[in-house]
Amino acid sequence: MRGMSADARRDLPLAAVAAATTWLTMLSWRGFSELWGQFLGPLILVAVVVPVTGVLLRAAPLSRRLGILVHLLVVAALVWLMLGGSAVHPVASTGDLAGRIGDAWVSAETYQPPIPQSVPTIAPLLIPCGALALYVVDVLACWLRRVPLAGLPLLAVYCVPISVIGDGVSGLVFLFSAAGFLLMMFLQESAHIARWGRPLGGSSAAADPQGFGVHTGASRGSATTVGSVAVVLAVILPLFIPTLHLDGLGLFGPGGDGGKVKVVNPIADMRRNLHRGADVPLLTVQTNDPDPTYLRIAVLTQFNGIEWTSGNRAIISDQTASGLLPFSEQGLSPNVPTDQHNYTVTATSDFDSRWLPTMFPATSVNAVGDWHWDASTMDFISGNDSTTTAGLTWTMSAAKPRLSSYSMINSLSAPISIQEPYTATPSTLPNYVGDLAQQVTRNADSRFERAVTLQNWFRDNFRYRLKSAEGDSNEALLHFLTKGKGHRVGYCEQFAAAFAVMARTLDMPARVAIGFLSPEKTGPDRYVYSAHDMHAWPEVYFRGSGWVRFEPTPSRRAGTVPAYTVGRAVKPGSGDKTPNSAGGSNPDEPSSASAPTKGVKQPESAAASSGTSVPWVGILVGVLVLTVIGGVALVPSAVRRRRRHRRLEGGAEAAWSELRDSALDLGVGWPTGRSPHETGYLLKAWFGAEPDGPPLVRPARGRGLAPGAEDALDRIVHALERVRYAVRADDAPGALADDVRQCIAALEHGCSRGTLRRARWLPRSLFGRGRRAAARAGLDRAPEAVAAGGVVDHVG
Amino acid sequence: MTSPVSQGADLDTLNKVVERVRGNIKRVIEGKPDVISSAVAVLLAEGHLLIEDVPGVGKTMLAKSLARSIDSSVRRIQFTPDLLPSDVTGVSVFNQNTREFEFRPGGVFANIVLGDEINRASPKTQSALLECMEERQVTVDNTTYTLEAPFMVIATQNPIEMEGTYALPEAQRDRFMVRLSVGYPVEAAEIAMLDSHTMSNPLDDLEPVTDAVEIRKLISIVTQVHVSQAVQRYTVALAAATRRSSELALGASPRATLHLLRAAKASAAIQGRDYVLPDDVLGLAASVLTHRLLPSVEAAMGGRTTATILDSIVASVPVPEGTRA
Repeated sequence: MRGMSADARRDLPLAAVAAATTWLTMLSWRGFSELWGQFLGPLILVAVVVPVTGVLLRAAPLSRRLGILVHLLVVAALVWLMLGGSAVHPVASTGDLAGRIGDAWVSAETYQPPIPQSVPTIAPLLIPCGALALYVVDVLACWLRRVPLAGLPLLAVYCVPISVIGDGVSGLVFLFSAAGFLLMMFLQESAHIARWGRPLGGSSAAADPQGFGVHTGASRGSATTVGSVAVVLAVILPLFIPTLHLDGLGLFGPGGDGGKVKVVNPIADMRRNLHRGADVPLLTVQTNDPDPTYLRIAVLTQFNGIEWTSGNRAIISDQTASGLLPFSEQGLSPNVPTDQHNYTVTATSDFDSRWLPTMFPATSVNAVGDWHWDASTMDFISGNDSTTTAGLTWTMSAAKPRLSSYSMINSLSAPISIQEPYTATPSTLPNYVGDLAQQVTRNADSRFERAVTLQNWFRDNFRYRLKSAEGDSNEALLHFLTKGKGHRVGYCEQFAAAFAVMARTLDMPARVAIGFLSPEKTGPDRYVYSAHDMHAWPEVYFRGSGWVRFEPTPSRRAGTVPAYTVGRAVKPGSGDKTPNSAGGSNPDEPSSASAPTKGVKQPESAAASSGTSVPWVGILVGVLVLTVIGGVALVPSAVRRRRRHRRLEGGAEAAWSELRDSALDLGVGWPTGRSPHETGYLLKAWFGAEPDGPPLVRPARGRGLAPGAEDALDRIVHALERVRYAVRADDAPGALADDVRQCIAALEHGCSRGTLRRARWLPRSLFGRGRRAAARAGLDRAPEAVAAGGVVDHVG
Repeated sequence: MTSPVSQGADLDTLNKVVERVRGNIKRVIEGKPDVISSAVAVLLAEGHLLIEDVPGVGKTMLAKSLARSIDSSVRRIQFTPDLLPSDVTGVSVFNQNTREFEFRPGGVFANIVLGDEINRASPKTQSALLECMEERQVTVDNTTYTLEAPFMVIATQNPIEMEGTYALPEAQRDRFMVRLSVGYPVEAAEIAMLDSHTMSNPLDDLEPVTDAVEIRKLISIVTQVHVSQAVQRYTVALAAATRRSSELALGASPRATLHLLRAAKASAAIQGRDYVLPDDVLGLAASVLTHRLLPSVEAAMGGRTTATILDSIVASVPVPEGTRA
């Protein structure tokens, strides 16, 4: 018992360091959620329980296998309790638990990390994962004493957030992990070194490996030096390699890539801002506009088959942001009633954009700096690199038109100057896109109705998910538009781009606008736009109404559609077999999707609809496949058993064949072209004695270990010789069955358990390879080996 | 020829006699049971035995003890360089009393002929043995004299001394069924030999344990041992493989095949079997075949001996699994 406690004392540091290292590595998971304490906190408890339980179990008189199992059960029970499972009513609480995990799954699926506070926490997913990591590292490092292997789960723990969040993982976490891992290596290796030269029988000395003159002090010094240099190099070197980027040592900062928001290429920057971890406030707006939504940054006018771009803008020196703007340029008829609103916008220093966000259609903009507007798009771009929005305050007025669907339905086609450039599609555009647009809008009469139908078709039949394949290229577009698993899923950029392309194929001038969707109200007439508010939407030109905004992005992201599109929906064409919503079938009723919904983000309802159904068909197919696989796996064993049974009923030749096949199954070389006597002699070298205890990993085998079986083999050989070479022989069927069984048993006693299992489930004798190997084993044998009689080639 | 042995009693008799003969020889030759068995097998297979070894290992002793164990006529011919063929076969001399030529039989007229140091005689004299060994008869002066069965030539020769020796011609070597080497005794056997051989000559005390009549009977028992077609095929395949081998300039003759099978039959009978196993053939292949084979020049230059070449050949010829025949 004293020895055990000493073992435990020696065991504890390694276990503790392993758990601490794992937990510290899990600090890289902070970026997963805004409330990272919800999972990292409970994992501290797991990180305490795992090493302590492990040490106790290792000290207990349990087999290692059983100990590992019990350890797992303890950890699982702890996690169960942590997640709210009831120890008293385990079954009843399972449902709640499954619900929480389902919610967490939906949150993880729907939102980019960090998961906001307002949605169900993902802790129920991360706590079991973290506990598993702690357990696996403990098993590898402490149970199996394979510390280098424990680096793999640590690496996995560290790498998962890097792959999910991107490069926003703190370097300090890496430092902790690496140092912890090196410390684990040191502890194990110094324990190894301390075992050198242990005196035989010196139990008291053995209890304390450092007590008999082995000093690890010197090795500790050099280990510290080597380890520190390695870690420092690992941290410093990447800073000089352009492809790698470590975000300083910002341990407890936001998981994202800092607070800076730089907008140069609008679409790429929007993509990045939507995916970024933290939601950074970018613009503060003071306005009398009751609904300051859809603040435009830039307009993308050209689609080249790869992406939407803002085209080559000529910066015209006299078109500056210094007062009134030509309202007629924006295509709006003077007859359309408008609401005039004034805005004072202040950008934070984090918002570093060369595009000036403006409300559309603006009537006047006053901004300090070299800002120029473009006549066709009415967006503002800076004339030089030094002019950006960072810290800038500007004022503007906008005349928001009260658009009438009636006038748009009856609008004439656009002037050529707009019609031609804005309906241009690349020649590489797949015909499918145009055909699909035609099919979807076949029931719509006017261009406006076609646009509304298209909008509603997107909102009804597509799903919003931020984490989807990026890009607007032809291939991405096809993938987005066609049906299938993982298809028809995307975020605003893809919706806007796809809408615009499809509208263009329908000869409607269309383009994509990038900007902010809806701000957060922070006070009276005061709003804040943040990075996560960035959005993309399509605009379609109608003569007299100008560029009109549509909203194809589903309601999960964009809750409302423009008022003028409500009630004008036309049932999408039957060519598209997707079931349509009720709203689509009744043009007079607002559709459920197109009607304004209560909030902008609706994760809860989505979670309820997508996360709870049980995939019975999948389970059934899985069970069926497993059954078939199981059945197929049983076939060789059954065939072999039947063959053995049949042969044991036969004469000497059948018995000999059975013996040969059994030897092949067990990986014992069977010489061909040798006489029965010689073969028997060689075979006896593979006989093992019947074990008197549990089967050994590497049992002994050789001649003289199983005299009974050797006699039995002699009888078989003698009978076979008589059958083959003598004039008369009593070849009684089944007479040798017992002898054959005895020989097979002796062969099996000489084999490891793995070999026995393989012989049972995958008998080589049934396959051609085993037979060919046997032939090789016989003829390749060196003549000296024949003379010596002791060497038989091992089959394969 | 291959009619089955009807009674196991015959084999028992054979075994008893063989055991007696072996026991008898063992009193003189210590620790060489395999050599003794082979020599007895050659006797029962009606073959001739060539004992080749360095001086002093008991070649002559083995030959004499075997001869002396059988109550039969034994003649010894000491092959010396001046030995004449007529000394071996016999000669017709003019009898002055009867005034007729009278045949005086040579050394070969006996059941067992000991040819000591056979390679010291000239080839001319060695050739005198050709007819009698193969055809068991002697022709002198147009008269053919049949030799009495059993007839066995046990010759010894020394491979070391080349001075004044004449290597046996191929035809002569081919007539010896088996060539044996006695080899040095193991330590214990050598010590036992010191005990028994220093007091008196143990050969003097050796009494015959069987006679020619019984040996003839045993020989007929051996001829009835069954050889399956599989074993016949195997024997022929071995011989054919020696003829095909690129390492051999001269392969085994058909007579060698015959000798191999006959020796195997004797060996099987001695082991109490009325059928021959491939193992019998395999076990005798080296002693029956090696002295008949000639290595090619390349093989000889490469340091390969006929024994090692034959080992390779034997290992490359598979034993036919065969069925009853």
